[in-house]
Amino acid sequence: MSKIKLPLVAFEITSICNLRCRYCYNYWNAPTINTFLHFNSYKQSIKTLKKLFSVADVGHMTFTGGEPFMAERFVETVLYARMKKKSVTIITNGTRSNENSYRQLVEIGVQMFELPIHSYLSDVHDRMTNLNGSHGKVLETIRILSQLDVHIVAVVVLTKINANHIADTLLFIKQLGITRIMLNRFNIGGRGIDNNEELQLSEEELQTAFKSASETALQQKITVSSNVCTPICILNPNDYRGISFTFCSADVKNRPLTLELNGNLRFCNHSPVVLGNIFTDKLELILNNDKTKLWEGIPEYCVDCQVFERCRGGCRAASEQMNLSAKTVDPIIHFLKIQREAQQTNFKQ
Amino acid sequence: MKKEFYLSFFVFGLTILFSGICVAVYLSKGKSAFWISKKMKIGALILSFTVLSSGGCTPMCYDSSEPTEYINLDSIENNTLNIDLSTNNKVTGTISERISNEFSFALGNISSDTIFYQSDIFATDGEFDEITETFALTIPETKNGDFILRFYNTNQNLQADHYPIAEIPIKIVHSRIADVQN
Ligand code: SF4
Ligand code: SF4
Repeated sequence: MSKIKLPLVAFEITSICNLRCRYCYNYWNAPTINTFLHFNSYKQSIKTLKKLFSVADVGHMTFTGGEPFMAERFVETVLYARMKKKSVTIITNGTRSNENSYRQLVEIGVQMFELPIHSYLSDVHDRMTNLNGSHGKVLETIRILSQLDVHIVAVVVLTKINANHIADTLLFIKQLGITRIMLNRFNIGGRGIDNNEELQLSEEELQTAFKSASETALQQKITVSSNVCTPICILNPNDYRGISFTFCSADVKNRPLTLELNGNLRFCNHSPVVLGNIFTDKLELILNNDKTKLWEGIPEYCVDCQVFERCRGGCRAASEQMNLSAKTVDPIIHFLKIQREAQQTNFKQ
Repeated sequence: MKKEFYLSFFVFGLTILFSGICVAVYLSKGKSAFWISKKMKIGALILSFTVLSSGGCTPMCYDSSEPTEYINLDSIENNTLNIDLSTNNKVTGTISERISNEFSFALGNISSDTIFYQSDIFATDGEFDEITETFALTIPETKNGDFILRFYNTNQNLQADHYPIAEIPIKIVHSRIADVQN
């Protein structure tokens, strides 16, 4: 039987992380999660990857976590994926490894590293990651990686804490020699649920920051993308020509399907809902079951929308993180509506 | 044609070498930095050649069917372990799919990513020798605050060379003000 083709799988190799980022979307950090089953095992990583490659023809692997460099024998696990001819990207917080490991990874053909730089100001960055000195560490990692001839992508999570100086941050990142930046608005989930008030931007703040980022990207020739699907009725890509926007694919196989160490498969790394387990369920059935089908539905809020086919209601995994169904529109609509109403009430008073 | 033949032969040789190194890594339980670095070097070399010679063989030293160790704690709330040191300093839980016969924990500062206390964990029945074991550990006197508790499948002296197998945020409070050691 031929294997199912999956262009990309994100592998959450461990749930353990040395940081406590205020915005962390990892579902196991959500305030409602009461069970404790953090994972970190080399043997299990290999077992799970082996199973994955036996049922699916995977093109590209993204290693994430937690912090992947906290994973037991991480570089060896990546070598296994490379030996199976997978191209590899690593998403890391950039504070946990050393030159030797980076060099080894580049030598075996890891093509891209994604690291956070939330601000040009170290105290702002450190406040977002909750670790003093994390800014300095990530800059040191960038210095090392820059010498290794590998693609570096800077990730900026846009929140109330760092949005007012986004243009300066983009310039700072460019000066580091990085010309590819992911500008991701804070997307509620995980630990971010508890910190929503502190982090969530108002509609106006969000649009102002994106305007500023877009203009800077055009002037400075920086490639900026917005990779958290955002409702078009909140951020219309036509208004931000300097930023390329990505949207959720309706086709589950073109999603960044996310695999946990124990074989659980989820729709994407933001979604907390387990579609099935590759050790116990047939992949074909997982990709066509009722939970997966929910994503094909149109949220009530979007029924008459002309742009639904592109937007698909924003990030509906964030709805799942809020214990709503995947058929509910992105909860940012709800938050911004509440903020707007509060502003109007204040105005009237 | 001749070139391809020699190349395949060379890659085959490297693969044998790689398998040998994998055995050395396995025997060192993945702890030998020397053998791991050799494994990565030869792995990189094979990869650079297999791009040229299509269908190069994939070394098979990764097979594994052993289970992994899981730790479950008895009293978790909101994904955090809450400890009131005025009334209780014991944490209890279960280790399932146990392989190691030594376990330990470390207590650290979240904000600085530093460890300030390490200790061994003891099986309730005195020995870690069954698939599933219950255990207890004692939290030392610590000021109020948010910390991180990490678990290792080794004794406390070897933690630096090992990765944690689990971790959980821990909130320490003293409900009786007189007990606070700030
Ligand atoms: S966002 Fe990433 S680096 Fe930050 S706590 Fe979560 S997993 Fe760790
Ligand atoms: S699909 Fe829904 S969320 Fe997206 S623009 Fe239309 S109404 Fe807004």
